[in-house]
Amino acid sequence: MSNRETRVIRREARQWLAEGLIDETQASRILARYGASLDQPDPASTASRVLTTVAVLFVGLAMLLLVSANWDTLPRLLRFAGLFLVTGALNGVGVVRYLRHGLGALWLFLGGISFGASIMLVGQMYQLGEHFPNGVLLWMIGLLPVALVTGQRSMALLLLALTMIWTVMEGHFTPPWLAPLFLVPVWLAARRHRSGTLMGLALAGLFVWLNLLLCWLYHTDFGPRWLAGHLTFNLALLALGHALVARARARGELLAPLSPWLERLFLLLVLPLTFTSLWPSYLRDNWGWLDPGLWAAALVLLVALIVHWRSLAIWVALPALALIHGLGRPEQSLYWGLAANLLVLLVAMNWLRQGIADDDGRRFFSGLGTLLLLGLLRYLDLIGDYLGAAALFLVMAGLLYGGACYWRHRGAVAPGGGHE
Amino acid sequence: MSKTISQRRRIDVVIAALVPQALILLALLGYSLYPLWSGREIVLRTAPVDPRDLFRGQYVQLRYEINQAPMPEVGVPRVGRQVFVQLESQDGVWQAVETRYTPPPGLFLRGHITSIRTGSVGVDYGIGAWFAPPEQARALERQLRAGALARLRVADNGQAALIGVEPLPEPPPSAPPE
Repeated sequence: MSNRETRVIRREARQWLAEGLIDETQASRILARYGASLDQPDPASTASRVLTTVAVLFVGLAMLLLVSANWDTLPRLLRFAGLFLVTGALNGVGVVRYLRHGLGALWLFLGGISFGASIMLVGQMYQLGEHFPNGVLLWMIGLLPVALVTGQRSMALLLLALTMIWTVMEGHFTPPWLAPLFLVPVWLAARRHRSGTLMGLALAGLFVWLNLLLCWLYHTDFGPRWLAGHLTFNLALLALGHALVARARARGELLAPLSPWLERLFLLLVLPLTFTSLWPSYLRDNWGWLDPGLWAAALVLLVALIVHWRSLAIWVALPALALIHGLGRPEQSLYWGLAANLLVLLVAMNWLRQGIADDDGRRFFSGLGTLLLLGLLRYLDLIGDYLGAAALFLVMAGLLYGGACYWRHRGAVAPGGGHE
Repeated sequence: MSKTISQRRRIDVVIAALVPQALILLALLGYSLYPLWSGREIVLRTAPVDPRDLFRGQYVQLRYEINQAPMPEVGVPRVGRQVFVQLESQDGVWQAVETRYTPPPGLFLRGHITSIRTGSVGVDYGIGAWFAPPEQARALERQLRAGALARLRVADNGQAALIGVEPLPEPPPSAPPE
């Protein structure tokens, strides 16, 4: 059932409850059948909450800009004391509201930004130019206990944003080992609020961190490096993402709504591989069996197998990555490019079929759009010469027609599955 | 009664969660003031450029001659590794004479390797930014374009604090032709 349909049922159940047609227990039991509950916020209150949070964020940005304006006519300690007291007051109001009503998240959020502005003010006043990531790390350390204790979403998002800034900046100098520690409150907040988006963002943060660690496996005395093995590793991460979402869909877990994002990620990573021009460098520059990217990918795929061994993505990625590193040669680029085109075609066909089966228009159009995009790309960027490209189009047309016949046949033999 | 204790405990936990913020701010203030209170004043040759920091506003970025320090004679240089650069005064302006991985005798600056070249290493000492209001930063950049002297205080552990930037002194007027 789509999110939209769930929302309609929830709205109806609330209406029946208000009219006295059913009691609260009955309403809860009805909604539970569809994986929904009465206490989930309605879209209007969600929109209001999101807009309020963004408004508070803008106030925080205004505060950072005010500090940036450099009020050097005021004595340093006066400036510091002023911002210190503002931070204390904002946090104080937040604590009182949080303890009395379980609210106050936005005050604490603003207090957290004010705390960061205070750190930046000290850096500005005393001309601290040394290792800027340390300033962001101090900000994160200050927010960590508050995010853990309150479990508020806005605070978790602020901490996540800072963690990503710090991870990327620190990653130029040393491996950013500490990042997962700051992802813990984000993960806890996602579980507490049953937020798939927050959980997905924490997962994305973890994947960025893993990529930077891989950079440090490749490092030289001149610093970390991005190499061909990163592509292998990210293809494995994509398979892990697929396994996580597949399991979540099967069990009604938090990550289930991330399916559309996974589709976009798939296109972002695999669509470039349909161009044969990318393959020679990938096949030439990877380190074969000795590539740390391959072994890191193997570990990721092992985790994916534990998560959801039935996920088809794992069983495609595992042999493909092993073949690329074991037997891949730059002169085979044409064949690997063809394989990538056929893979995108099959995946898009599957999206289209699932879209129809689940009555999910978005997925249907994802599949259709990908098929058309693939056709356009191959028409503009020929694989081989004109005859080779024409042959590829005929093969793809054959696959599409084969799929159409198969589903028509299945529709005809399935009970109640007639077709026009 | 138990509810009151639990409420009291909750208040303590939330307040305790905020205490690190105050401690961090005060510790950072102390760290920034340490070389200013305890350090020895020195002068370095520098030249400015003018960028903007996303969190701290406009600043004049300073490139020092000592940002290129001699290659350490022992040990493998690596980007990010901490080094100590020994300084020596030449006509009142301090110059880098040796780079080590342990504190040398005499006056030295603590920094991190940022790049490696033949015979020298790039070193960042954390004194590369002079924050100022936007107009002042731009004026300072124009004023210092021909080169500048930076005044610092250096603590015993090599930590430095920038306390001022000034133009190079005017060269003495040459003697009129006979």
